[in-house]
Amino acid sequence: MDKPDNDRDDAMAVERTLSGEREAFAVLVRRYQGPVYRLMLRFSRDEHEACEMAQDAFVRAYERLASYDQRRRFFTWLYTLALNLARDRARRVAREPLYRQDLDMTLADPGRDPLASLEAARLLDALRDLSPKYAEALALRYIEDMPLDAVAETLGVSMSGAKMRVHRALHMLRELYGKEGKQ
Amino acid sequence: MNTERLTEPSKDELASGLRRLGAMDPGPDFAARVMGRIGTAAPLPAPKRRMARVIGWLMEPRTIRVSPLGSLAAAACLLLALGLFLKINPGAESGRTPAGLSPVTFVLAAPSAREVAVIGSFNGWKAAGWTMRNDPATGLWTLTTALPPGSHEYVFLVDGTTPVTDAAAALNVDDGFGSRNSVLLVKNGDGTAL
Repeated sequence: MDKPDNDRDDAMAVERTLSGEREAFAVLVRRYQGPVYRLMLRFSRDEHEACEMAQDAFVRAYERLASYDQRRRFFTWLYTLALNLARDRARRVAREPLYRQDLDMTLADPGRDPLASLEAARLLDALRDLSPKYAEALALRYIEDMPLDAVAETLGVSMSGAKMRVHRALHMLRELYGKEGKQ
Repeated sequence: MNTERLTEPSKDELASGLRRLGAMDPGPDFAARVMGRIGTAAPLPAPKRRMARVIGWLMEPRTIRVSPLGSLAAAACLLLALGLFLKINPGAESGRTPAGLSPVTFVLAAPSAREVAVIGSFNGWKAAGWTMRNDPATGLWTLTTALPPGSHEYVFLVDGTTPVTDAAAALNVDDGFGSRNSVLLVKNGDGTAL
């Protein structure tokens, strides 16, 4: 499904939700639960906390759905709302570094290679050490696999600004990840 | 290059690693948990726009309690404000300037005059109704009126008999009878007069 189709579907789901069809909102939750959850993972200490934060974001989005300007993309609005929520929470809760056992628990999936899980956790931890300005550009580009123009639109920056952020973020992450690997 | 690869991953490797993070998901029951928290509540109504809030505030009936002393004070304030307004805008007492006309104030310094009027092309050279008001403190005679745009000839008629040209006028012309008339040029719109 291409982007305009997605946008049309989102707009329809929003309309139906606002007209009292609650289940239509579940469609939006299922569609965007991954990106919102992964965003919260970058601002939290573990999967459980990220899951709670992602739920909070969707509940708040539902409550404020009537104020959503339907001329904008729904995901941009949802992402901004979730990012604000995550930042507020980060300000309140002093972030603690992940302990090794947390890392082992995080992303623990019986179906996955334990070594790959550990690598993923290390990468996520390095991403957390980046400024959100850069981490989010990188995350949207690679984790969410969004084209650069969509990254720019979501972050509210120009195309060249988004490109610059992704480029610099990748460079910074490379240094951070390399340092962690040496420890 | 080889040494770097041992310690730091390449950008492509990092990008691939990040893409693999995209598989992380909150689980199949996530949407059900969100919907459970939402319950049966409806979304909140949209916040009103600023103009709607202002209109709503203005339209909303409200109770105003007035004490006798308070109302006296308010009336005094109103009178004071009205007095100040009239003092600052002397022309306001005669109401607004009619459309198409521009306000004009004639001023003559004649401390010893008993009566002064303005006569000119705009009133058929008749003094009735065009008597100027005197300020004994300054000796100035003034009259504010509204005239259509264009050129108007006039003189001051002092004590009903003596025509006096306006010393402040930009232009004085021969009246054809051996005397001179002052000329007033009224511009369009802003009432600027020469």
